[in-house]
Amino acid sequence: MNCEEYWNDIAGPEPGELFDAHLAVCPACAARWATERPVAAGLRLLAAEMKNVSAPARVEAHLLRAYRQRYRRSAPSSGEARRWWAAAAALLLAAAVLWMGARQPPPPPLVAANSGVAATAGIEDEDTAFIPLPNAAGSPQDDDVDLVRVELPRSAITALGIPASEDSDAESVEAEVLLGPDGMARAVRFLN
Amino acid sequence: MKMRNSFSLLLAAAALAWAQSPPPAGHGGFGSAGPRFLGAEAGMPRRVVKGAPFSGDLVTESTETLADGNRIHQTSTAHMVRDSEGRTRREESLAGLGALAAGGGAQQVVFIHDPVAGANYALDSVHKTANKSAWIGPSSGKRPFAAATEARREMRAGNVPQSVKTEALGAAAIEGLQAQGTRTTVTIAAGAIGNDSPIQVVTERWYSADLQMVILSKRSDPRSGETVTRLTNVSRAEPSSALFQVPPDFKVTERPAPRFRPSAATPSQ
Repeated sequence: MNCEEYWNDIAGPEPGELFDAHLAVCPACAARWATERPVAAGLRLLAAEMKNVSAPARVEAHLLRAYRQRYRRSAPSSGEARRWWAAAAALLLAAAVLWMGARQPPPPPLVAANSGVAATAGIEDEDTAFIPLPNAAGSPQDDDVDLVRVELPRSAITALGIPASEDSDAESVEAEVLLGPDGMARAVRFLN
Repeated sequence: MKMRNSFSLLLAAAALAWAQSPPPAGHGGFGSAGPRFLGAEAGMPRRVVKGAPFSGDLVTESTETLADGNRIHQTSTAHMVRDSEGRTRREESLAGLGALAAGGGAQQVVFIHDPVAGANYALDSVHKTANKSAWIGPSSGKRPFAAATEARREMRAGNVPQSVKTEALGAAAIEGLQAQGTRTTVTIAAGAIGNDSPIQVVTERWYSADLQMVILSKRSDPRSGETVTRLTNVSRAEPSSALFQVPPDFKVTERPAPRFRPSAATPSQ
């Protein structure tokens, strides 16, 4: 096994012991592998910790669609393709798992009789990411609000007057919107 | 070799993901250009108003005139119901998302706040699901949205020199209800934010003591346009209690508490 075969095939389903043998005789690959080992270990740990969590099909579909689009733009050679595929697969899964971790609902706030501070802290954390909308500037601060979660074309961000990448208008973005009692949106935050 | 096993695991998982079909388009009948409804959560009402039942439509119209003369005009309507026990129901469409709802917005969502049963609900009538959260007492801190609003106001106002003038407008009958009017005028001095001449932001509110709510408000800001919210089609009849219940064919999902809660809810009035 030469170096190219090693890095092309390492992500295969059954790598075999030839890989260990190659590392033993190739200082260059051994050195490179030494730098990549922590990343691999991190991914392995992440996979172990999150093995019972699966990302929603929608998230995986988004990630895969994004990868396909990038892949089509600059299709690499077949050898490179396998490496890219392996790296992308690992990154996709890691991203999905991390996303799921971030999306897991926080534990219920401890709202006992005298725990207002703790409860409020949690709320404030959630609140910081909301962007107030221009038409909400005049609404009463004590308005009751409810929340809707929607998926929007990225062009909707531009419609709000917020700069967004023009070449990604066709992509979608998930958002949470606070609605006032009159049904008008008060604030929005984008989740991806 | 652990690394190889790890990569194999990751690769297999990614391949499985690849094989999955994309999510169904249109969750609630939206077109491809509009928003796709994913879910809703009812917040916690700031206070409960008892003994003042009504139903009506809250209509909001906003108009913004741009520098080139172009106009952006948006209208949204929310149907609101309240019974004598303080239970409320709001039916809203995603058209209220304004620019975010471009190309869609037909989906309706219903929010029920029931202090009697001690629950809040967000209903998705298309998929017949209800998101239930428990009724939580007031906390001592600021409301979540208040921080965002204040941030924007501070951003806008900052240490800007401005004067505030409030005047009473007296009483008037609006939609058959007696209301007291108040006008607040905020004037930002010339040069305060690089403006050539003073900027006036005028807010008018008409409060009904019978309903214990503002039934007409107008706000004019040359920077963001004019917004008018009015309560119309008002009925003071006691609404049916069925309006505050989840239909039996809805699937109910429960979460421990609303993520959005008041700072100083008033149990009853």
